Amino acid sequence: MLTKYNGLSQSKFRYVSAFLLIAGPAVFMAGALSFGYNKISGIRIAQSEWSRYKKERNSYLDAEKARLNADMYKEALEQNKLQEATKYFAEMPAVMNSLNGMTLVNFGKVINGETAQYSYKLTIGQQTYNVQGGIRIQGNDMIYEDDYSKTSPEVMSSGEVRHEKNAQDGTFVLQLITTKNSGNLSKLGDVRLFTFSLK
Amino acid sequence: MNIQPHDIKRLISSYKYYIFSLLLFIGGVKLLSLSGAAKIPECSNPNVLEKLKYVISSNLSGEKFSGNKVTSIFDISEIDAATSSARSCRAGVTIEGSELGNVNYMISISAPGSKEIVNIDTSLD
Repeated sequence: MLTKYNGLSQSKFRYVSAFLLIAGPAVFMAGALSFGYNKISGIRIAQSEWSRYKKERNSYLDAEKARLNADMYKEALEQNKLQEATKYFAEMPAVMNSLNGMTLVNFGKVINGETAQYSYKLTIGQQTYNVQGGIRIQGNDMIYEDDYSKTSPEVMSSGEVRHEKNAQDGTFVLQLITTKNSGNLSKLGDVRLFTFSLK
Repeated sequence: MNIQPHDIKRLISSYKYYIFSLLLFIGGVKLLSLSGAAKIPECSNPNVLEKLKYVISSNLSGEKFSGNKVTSIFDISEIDAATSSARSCRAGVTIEGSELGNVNYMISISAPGSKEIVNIDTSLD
């Protein structure tokens, strides 16, 4: 019995001893592998993150550059447009007489913020009325306004001005569109056309 | 009972493999405890420092991805022991030729979707 008991004890001790001898290297191996893997993983994350950030940054900078170029191009176009407009207005004679009786003075100077003067006679039925007023630029619009003291009160109006120069036939057409009718004979939406010959 | 030096020597000699195994076990446990923090990149990782330059430059100019304001980073050190989620660092920064002084920053990792991203937080200052 005693021999058997000692045999079992020795066998158990062998297992415990083997476990103790293996546990140390096994745990160390697990720790080293885990540490090494995470270390490499951290380095790779930082590397790929910088690539991602750099890519995002470059595409952002490209977009910014494209936007800047577009702005510059737009600005250049606006500048050209303004130069063209300045040239267009500068070519207008100081005094112009339309084929249907309007006298227009200093229209070329409206681009500088000045007011151009106009006068014409308007016939409604048997009656002829005097109209005088000014044209000026307000914001992005060009507007006209009849002069209260110099226009017959029945036809007083104000509104929008449109103009077109035809280089081919050398004519300049001015449209006065009534958007505010102060007199009882002028109607909202009235369009008065005046054609000038620039030749 | 008196323990003589040769007794200790004999004891060590008898159990040297067990002692070696125990040392390995302790080392292994230590490595396992450090492995969580190992995933957070080092303070001096060149990729982290490169991003840090841009993050600080952007903070200074208020523009996204603004660069070239921070010209160099020096004296990089770790402030506290890293945890499994973040590492706090300190570095000197030169901005357009003049020394700004120390900037504290925190490196952490977040994983939006399947991609892990290194976050650098300079708001520790």
